[in-house]
Amino acid sequence: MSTKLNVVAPVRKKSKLHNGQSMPHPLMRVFKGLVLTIACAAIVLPFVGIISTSFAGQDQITRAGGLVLWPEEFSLQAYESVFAGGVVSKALGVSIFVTTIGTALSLITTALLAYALSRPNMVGRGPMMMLVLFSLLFTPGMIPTYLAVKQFGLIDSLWALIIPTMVSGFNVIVLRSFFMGLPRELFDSAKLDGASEWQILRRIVLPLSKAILAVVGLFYGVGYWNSFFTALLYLNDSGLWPLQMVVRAYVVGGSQLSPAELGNPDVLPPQPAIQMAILMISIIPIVCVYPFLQKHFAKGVLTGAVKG
Amino acid sequence: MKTSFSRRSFLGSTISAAVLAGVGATTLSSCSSGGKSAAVSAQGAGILPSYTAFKGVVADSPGAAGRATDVFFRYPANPVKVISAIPGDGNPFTALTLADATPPALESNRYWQQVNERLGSPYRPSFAPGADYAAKFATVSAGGEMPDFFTVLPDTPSQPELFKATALDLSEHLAGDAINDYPFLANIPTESWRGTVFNGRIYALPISRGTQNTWVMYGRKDLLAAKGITKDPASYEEFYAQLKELTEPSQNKWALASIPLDYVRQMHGIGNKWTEKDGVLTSAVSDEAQQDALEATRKIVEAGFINPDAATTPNDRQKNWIQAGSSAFGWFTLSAWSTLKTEGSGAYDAQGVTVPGFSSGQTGTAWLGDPNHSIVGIAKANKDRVKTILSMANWMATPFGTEEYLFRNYGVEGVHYNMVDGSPKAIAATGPERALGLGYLSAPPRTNFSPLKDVLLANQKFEFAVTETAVSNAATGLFSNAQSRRGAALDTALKNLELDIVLGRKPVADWAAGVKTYKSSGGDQIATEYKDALAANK
Amino acid sequence: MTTTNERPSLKELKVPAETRTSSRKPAAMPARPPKRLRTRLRENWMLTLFAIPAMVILLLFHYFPLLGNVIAFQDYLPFLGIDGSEWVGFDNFAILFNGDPAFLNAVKNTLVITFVQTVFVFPAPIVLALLLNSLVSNRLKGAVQSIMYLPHFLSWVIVVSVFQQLLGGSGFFNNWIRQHGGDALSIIGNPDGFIALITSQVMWKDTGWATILFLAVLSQIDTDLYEASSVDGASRWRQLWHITLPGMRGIIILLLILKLGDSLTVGFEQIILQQAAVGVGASEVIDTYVYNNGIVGGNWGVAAAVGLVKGVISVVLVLGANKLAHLFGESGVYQK
Repeated sequence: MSTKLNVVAPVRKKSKLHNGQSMPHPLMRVFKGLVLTIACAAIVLPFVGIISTSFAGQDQITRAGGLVLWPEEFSLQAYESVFAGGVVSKALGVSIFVTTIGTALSLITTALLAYALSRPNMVGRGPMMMLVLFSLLFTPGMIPTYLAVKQFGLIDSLWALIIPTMVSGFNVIVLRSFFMGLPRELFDSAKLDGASEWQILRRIVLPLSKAILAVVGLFYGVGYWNSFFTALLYLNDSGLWPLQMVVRAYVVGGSQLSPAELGNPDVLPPQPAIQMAILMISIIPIVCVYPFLQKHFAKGVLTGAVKG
Repeated sequence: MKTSFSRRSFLGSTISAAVLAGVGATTLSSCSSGGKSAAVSAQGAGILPSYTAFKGVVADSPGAAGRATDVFFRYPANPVKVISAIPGDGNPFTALTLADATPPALESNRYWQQVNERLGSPYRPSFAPGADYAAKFATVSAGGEMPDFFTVLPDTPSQPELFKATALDLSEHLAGDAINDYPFLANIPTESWRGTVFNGRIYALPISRGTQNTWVMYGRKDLLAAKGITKDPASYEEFYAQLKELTEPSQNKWALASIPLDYVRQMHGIGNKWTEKDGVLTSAVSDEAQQDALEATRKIVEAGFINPDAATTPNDRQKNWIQAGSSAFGWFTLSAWSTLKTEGSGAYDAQGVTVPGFSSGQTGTAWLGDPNHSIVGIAKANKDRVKTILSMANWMATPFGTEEYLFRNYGVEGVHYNMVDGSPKAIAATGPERALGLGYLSAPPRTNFSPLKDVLLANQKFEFAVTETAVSNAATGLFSNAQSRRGAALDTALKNLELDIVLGRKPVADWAAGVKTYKSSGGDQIATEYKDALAANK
Repeated sequence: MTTTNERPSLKELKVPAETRTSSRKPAAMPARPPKRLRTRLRENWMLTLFAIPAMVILLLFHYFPLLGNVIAFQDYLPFLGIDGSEWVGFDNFAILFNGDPAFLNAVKNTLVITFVQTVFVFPAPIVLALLLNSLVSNRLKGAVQSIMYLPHFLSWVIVVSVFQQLLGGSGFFNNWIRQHGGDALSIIGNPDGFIALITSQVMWKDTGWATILFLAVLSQIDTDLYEASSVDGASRWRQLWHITLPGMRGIIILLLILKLGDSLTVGFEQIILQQAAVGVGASEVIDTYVYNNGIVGGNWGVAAAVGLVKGVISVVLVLGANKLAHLFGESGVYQK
């Protein structure tokens, strides 16, 4: 046994991926590279257009009749105009607050419920599971939800952007299914050691579920970040609006501001440039979060856990 | 993963709202101190406010009520403050209205602070962008507490019931000569007040647009001249020949930025939505010439004279094709002149093109647009302070040329704008401080204001020409329950059908069946209700 | 110690445990009568406590407003409220059962689109996840991932407008072709290609995003299993087939079942934005039909009625599919 290992070891080092898979065939690697390059190009190109337009001048946008593929002159005018007056900076703050607090609360409540529903000894597990599942299939209308939010006194409170959407049935189900996939032996031995459910959750389940928690956190985080509809309906005070609501007013405002309305300023940033600039501002912060989460699902976490 | 059904449905319903909001909201500057009072027809005659034009400011080139918009090339020097008393009562007033941009909060918004001070009542607005307004409005009205002022867009369903349930009846304060207590509301043309009357009572304030909501064909005169075209077409055939001349697909040039169906309909003399004869209203959809118009438009599509993306491109983006010069003709409202002119670069010239008769010898008829952008209700709760509310509305309706107007639209000199050659130039660093939506709570008649003298004069001249024979929708100011509940669905069905026909996906003959369905599933009922409403108003 | 089956899969972890209890029941019953509720609660109070916060939120902000769906039986006008609006029985449901050929066409289109998207859109992120997972360079993997998930953040309004400006009849692509003497391709305005178009838009927008979940699943697979099979000389295909896919099976089935519940709902906003280009014949789906024929006039009752019917159908589909999954020994969404 040990000899065999010794022989294999040097070879293995080269022929394995970080997660233990064998090395792919060279032809396969070329093929994969090609597929991924095409896919990435298909995504990057339109984004180049969006970014270029945000930096382009009126002349070029006029000539192009809209989207510009590459800016001839580099103009920051659109960004300056978007940030003028401090509305966007404030909205950015609101969005960050709602996203961080909301994601934290969502993760906590969702993980607790998902764990409880994953345990066979939980009282009322069946009916509760049904309630969670049905919450995906029957959705309340916009008006009744608004009335509930109003009744609970959340109108014009930032909590209205968090509490009503705090628990997503989909995320509960996904997380629960993961918890149930964890090796049963871990629970049994912990129980034998006299660990409480809280201790099992804290010490065993959560550490082993970092990857899926990162994903569910991202689902929630992006949900909070992208939502404008809750702000539209529940915040009468536009001073509390998060970034996406401000973006919305620019992108689909419907009635564009005419130069006369803006008071005929000498230099007016082109409307498409403003829209694309504000789009970029709304995307960049959340995109920056991704690399930090990525490391959590880069490598396996179960190694050794089962054997342990 | 899932979104609620009603929410998603609203993303859609908002599209139509966006289109509507896009229609009149381009310039706040507004019209007409205009000479004679509009001919008052029988509609709502007994209740309508009497019209007294404000004579304090004379336009650089006067328009005429119902015909053309007053035009100014400079802001009058030393504008007069026309209201001396502070209208407010110190108590806050709330509003639900449209926002074009998000204004900075009160603490850091010098414009808003000034508004509060001048009005004498703190302003507490709440906004929704045009595309989301319907959703916001529905929830607020379901919540049962209407804000003091609320803007109601034209496609809002069940308006008579809505106003009856939520808005103050203003008749007592505005009907006939009673309006003279509010001279700047009295300065709003009668045509605009018609749309505020429900069941014979005045329930709202109009946001007047005069003739500026009228849809017309624009042509790039420079591009046309380059092809030797110097005259407006005199018939469909001539129009077709011009289109052919201007289309060069290999150069990515298409003569038209928009599908010209309504323009061709106008050549055929088809009426503006509803026509009245002897007290009976008839819908334009059943006009005999409809199939001819569809066929003639289909030919233009088939010949490839229209930008191939015209059907799915919002009207605002079709303007980009005119600006870029990839199209020479486009279908926009009269108010689009400012966007078509000032947003573009270079000296090009997009001007209105008159409606010819379909064949020589015939005459075309243009269609007058809705005289209002929207109307504004006053919440029932204001029964005891209605005079204060109307005084504030009166202040918001002070016309172009006054000191109040200058402040409302441009802010404080030196802070928000500098006066350069008689024209206020915004100081960019203040951002959207002035985007408080005041112009959608109460507004003066519309004026057109720009230092581009030639453009304005040409535009006004065209306006006079096109409104000379233009017909208005006979149902303006009449309300039918069937129209407000089912009209939108019926109209959508016909819109989809006409698009299918024009784009060659269905035969022209299918139109007849579509009209039959329209009539049987509500069209006939709408006609009857309009007829009754007209009789009741008499 | 070769393959995969040693790794306890979802199924083996759960189902046996439960079958065990049920199969033992008859024998064990007489000796140990079932514990009373109160006892069970006392023993497991902590789990109940865990469930409370999330359940309260669901009840207050989901199930309580759900009662408002009674407006399905009303001619509901928001400003009159539920008290003030007129009751109309099942009138609002008529739109679904009136046999209008246009509606039947919408149902057909919906089902076709659902089918096509299940075949193409659903597996795409799985394939991409497997592809990424097999990449040698971690840095490359990270870069590709970060790029692929970008489009998720664009709203449909923007996606549709960008697609049109690139691929439309007067878009960059066709303009380029025409300038070089070619014939333009009708990509956007072609009724026959509409389903392909919206399917590729969905894939463009959300494949990268949906991959994240599967990558997380892949990371949960015990790396020892790969090590061991490598030692035994298993090929990559063998590893894929015997380790990777079985490890993903649980979540794939779960998502498939939930997707089935969504069968009658296909991208409303995406479709309505592009409907004019191809006409209602090719593009009308249930949601756009209901919108075009009821909701445009502010008919809230119809929206609620259709929501209810769709909900009931979803429940039947999801519970049925779940049952089916159990028959095949899978755990599905939940199990009793």
